[in-house]
Amino acid sequence: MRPVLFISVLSLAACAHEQRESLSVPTRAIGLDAVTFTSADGVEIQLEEAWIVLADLRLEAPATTAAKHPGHDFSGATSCELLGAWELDLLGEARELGEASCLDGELATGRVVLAAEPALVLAGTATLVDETERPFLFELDLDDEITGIPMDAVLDAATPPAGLVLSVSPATMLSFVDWASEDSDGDDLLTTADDLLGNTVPFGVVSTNSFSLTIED
Amino acid sequence: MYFIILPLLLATVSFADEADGDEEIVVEDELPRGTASERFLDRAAVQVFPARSADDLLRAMPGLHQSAHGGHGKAYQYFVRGFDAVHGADLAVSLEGIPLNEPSNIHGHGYLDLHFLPTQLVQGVELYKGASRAEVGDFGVAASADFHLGLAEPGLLAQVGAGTDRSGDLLLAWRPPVGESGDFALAQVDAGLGVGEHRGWRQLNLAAGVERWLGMTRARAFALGYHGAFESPGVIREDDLLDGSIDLYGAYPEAGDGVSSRLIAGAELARPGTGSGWNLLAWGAMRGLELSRNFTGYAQHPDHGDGVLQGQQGGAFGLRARRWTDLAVLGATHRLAGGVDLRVDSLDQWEQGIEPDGSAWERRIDAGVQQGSAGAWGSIQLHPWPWLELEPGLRAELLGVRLLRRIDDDGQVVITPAPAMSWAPVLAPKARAVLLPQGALSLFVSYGRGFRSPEARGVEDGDRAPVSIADTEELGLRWEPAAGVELTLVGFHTTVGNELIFDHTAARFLSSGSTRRLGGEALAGAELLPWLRSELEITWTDGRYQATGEPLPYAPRWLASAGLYGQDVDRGGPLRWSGGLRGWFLGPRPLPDGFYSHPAFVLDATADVELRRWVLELQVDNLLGARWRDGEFVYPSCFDPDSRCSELPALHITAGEPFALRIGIGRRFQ
Amino acid sequence: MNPTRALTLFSLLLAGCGGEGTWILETWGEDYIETGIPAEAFDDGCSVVFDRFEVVDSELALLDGDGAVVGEVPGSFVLDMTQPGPVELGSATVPATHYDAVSWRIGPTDDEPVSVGVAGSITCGEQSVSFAWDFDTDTTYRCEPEDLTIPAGGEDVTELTVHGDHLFYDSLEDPDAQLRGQAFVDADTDADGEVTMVELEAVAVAGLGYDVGSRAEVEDLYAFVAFLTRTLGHVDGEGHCQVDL
Repeated sequence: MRPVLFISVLSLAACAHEQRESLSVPTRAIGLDAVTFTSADGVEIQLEEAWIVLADLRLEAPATTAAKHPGHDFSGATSCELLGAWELDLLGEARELGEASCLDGELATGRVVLAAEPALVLAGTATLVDETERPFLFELDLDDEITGIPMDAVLDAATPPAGLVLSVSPATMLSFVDWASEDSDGDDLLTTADDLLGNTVPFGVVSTNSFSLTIED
Repeated sequence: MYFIILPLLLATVSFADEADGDEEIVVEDELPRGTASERFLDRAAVQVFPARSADDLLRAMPGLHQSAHGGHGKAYQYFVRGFDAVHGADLAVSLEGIPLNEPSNIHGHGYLDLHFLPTQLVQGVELYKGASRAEVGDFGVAASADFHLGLAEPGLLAQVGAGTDRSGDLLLAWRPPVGESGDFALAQVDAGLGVGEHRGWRQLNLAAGVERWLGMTRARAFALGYHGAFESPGVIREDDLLDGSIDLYGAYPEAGDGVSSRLIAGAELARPGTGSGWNLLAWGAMRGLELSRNFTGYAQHPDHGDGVLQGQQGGAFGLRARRWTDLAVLGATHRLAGGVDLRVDSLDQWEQGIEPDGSAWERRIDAGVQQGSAGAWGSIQLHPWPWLELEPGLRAELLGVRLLRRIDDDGQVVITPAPAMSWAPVLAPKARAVLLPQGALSLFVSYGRGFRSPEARGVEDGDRAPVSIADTEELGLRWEPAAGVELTLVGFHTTVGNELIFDHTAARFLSSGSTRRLGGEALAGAELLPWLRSELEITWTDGRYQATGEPLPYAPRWLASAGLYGQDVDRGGPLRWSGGLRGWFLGPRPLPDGFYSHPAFVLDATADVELRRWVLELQVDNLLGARWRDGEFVYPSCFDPDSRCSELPALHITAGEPFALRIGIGRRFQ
Repeated sequence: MNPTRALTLFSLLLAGCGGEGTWILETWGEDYIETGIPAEAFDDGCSVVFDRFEVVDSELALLDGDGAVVGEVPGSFVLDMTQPGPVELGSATVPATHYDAVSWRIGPTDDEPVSVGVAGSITCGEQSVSFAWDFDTDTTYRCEPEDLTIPAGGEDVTELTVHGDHLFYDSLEDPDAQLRGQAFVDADTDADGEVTMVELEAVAVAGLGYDVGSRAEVEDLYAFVAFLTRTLGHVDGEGHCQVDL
């Protein structure tokens, strides 16, 4: 019957259209720096405890001036997503976060949520150039999202990547700290209650530079 | 005396020269027809076209696709010639000259809701593509249609029906034994639960008309009222469908509903005839509408939910006058036609954010709108030689809009004591030419500029308001190789210099760039047997943004349909029957973010049998039980308030009508 | 209908067939630059008065829906926004239609190496300091004018609005940023009553409790304010402008 023939022909035409593909990308997070490192000012920092609570990792396509269209649509630029909350020991092994659900295409930026009480603990001892030791314990309650983590990758469902790695750098987080800060409360421990540390520690923690995202082929 | 005046160039679907019984159609608008893509359905054709409501009859327009995502009672979403006309913004539809599109409707500009028109009262439908008719004004960007009102059969018809979609209906239709088709009274109640969740509806239609001849002048008056309440199943996420957490015909708890009321009344004086004629129409309409929906769950407002309640109340009235006359010049007869249209609307509209329990938590829109249009048009159909017909035309329209009241950025209602009117003038030229109009092979060329008025809420006080303009050129060929066989080929090209889109949330217009739509239609119709006619249509459209080459999202590319229509030809016998079987295919459509919609193939059927005044009516929706997807949209949503919300764009679906069989049994009383 | 009315309506109708109109461009610094930013606007109760707020405008263009330039006001303009405004910059003949994109540059030119130059005083409680800062930031704004429809044979206006208070935000990317002034008063380390650009460069942003968002390259207060000079541009009052950063 004529209609059947037409439908078959047209269905073939239909199959030619490529639907946007989805793929899963195994994701892990890792702390970048060694237990002991030296700051730009020559201060030697030894970490005894360093962990962070990360949540809801998302990757975004490059921002485009999208063709505006009518109808009931609210399309977004999110291309990859891994929802959850994970505690990461920055001094330990990489932590598997799960499989990120992704759509194929270009990736330009990423973001991750730091929202917990506390979201971060960094503790250890900083030894100044004059050998003065300053023990520190920074505990931060945060409700923030780190945005604009740069990326440059293209996801192709035909050749899925081996993995996605979120790296966190405690050294960068602490790079704004003045280790000679005054111990305002006189408890022989540098905390966020002392001097300007209540500003400089969070400043480094939420700095985009403290995070990086890479796709492993 | 009645005059049967059929258009010179009829489309393929119409049957023989006479309609049912003693009925003859009076087509009083002797306006020339002149494109290959037009089509006319008379009453017999309407009867055999599977259609549950008058809106469904628009499917007879080749290349038009309708999508219902609101349940029984909400306007469809229309797609034609590469245009996503949303709820009717590019498709101008009228009833006996009364414009039915609702400008600045809160749910969609040009909202086209035909639920007030029962199919029994549709005497005919004229379907036109392109914008080459000078008598069509606002919203006639991609296509236009005119419905004719009347009740075909004299006497009383009482009919009761039920369907497998858990529906029932009761119809009483009466026409005096001696009188016109415009003399009628009708009452219809229709209610049902539908197949699946949250798809219930109930509606009431009341209509009455009076038609008298005063000498050579015909006088008509009619009123149609509608009240409906319905549930809207809304959308479901494709991933929920695939993992089995929801059925295709299910609904999320957040699905919405609606209430719609409409009253349309008209009074007309007409002088049809040969040589010259005129027509004068006055009309009034009242409208109440309230719609609630939630398409995103809790994605935008995790605390309150994304439920939205929209409503509007208002009225409109208008006048339409037209006149035509034949002129004999240089040995040939030419036709001069012209008219004037006036329209005024006054609306109150509101939109609120609502909690899952329906209570309002945020007031977003609270607007008072006044708008109007005044249009004048003229066309002249020239016949310089027998083998050539030329018809240049022009329409001039002045659109005006003003907001009496709106909400400012702080959520406060601002009342403007004497707001200035914002004006939008339009000049729309039209032109048509037909080569060999009387021959078996005819060639058609046409050009038209169509326009759409600005949505009221986007216009600042007293500024010039932006008008959407589209220019369409069309080339067509019509060939009748044998008696009862007709083949038509049409190609069209539409350019929009500045594609204007109304950002509903920000209440502002976006100039999204220049676009080009290109397409073609192939139609074939053949009378296989004296009582059986077949039709086949294939349409293809490609619409793109010219700067980027990106396809226009949502608009269908491939659309095809095939139908078999039968009607008994022995009019004298006790048995009368008619029936139609129609299948249509919709190809994948481009969606945002690189997605494509799924193709759909649906078969519908209808049959009518009348024996000794007993009437049996059968309607089958989706005979093959296809689980097809009516609407597909791409955006992020979050329907589980307790889980973390995904921001990935996801495919959302509205389910197409499932299989349903409805049977109606009635009896005629003379 | 009187003849004037008829003529107006007739010309309105003629206008409907397309054609060209005039796009007029103005600029204004609003009250915050002309009069000053009051203490109520600041989160820490400071206030600011500008003696000079010079801005170098150039590359003023109207863009159609395809992103193409359809009209330009040529040349560059050096304007002291503390002078009463709005000030007309110029006009261009453009096709009559609706527009939603205007492009605008605040940046140095060959003749004007300083694109934004501000001077005035900041008062926080009893303390008051003066300032005179120059910036050479180069920013191209792409703005969305409010309902700009140029009628054929008619005109419509776009106002390029400069929001002087942006220099005192405490965050580079947070939409809920507050105005703060204390850090500037505290920056006057030599207590001479003037906060210089050098003194601003000596202040580490990290210790202020300010937020740089994803702009990790911004480390000192001068760089912070310089970044904020790239957010000065708005359109038609509160209209949104995008910047490629």
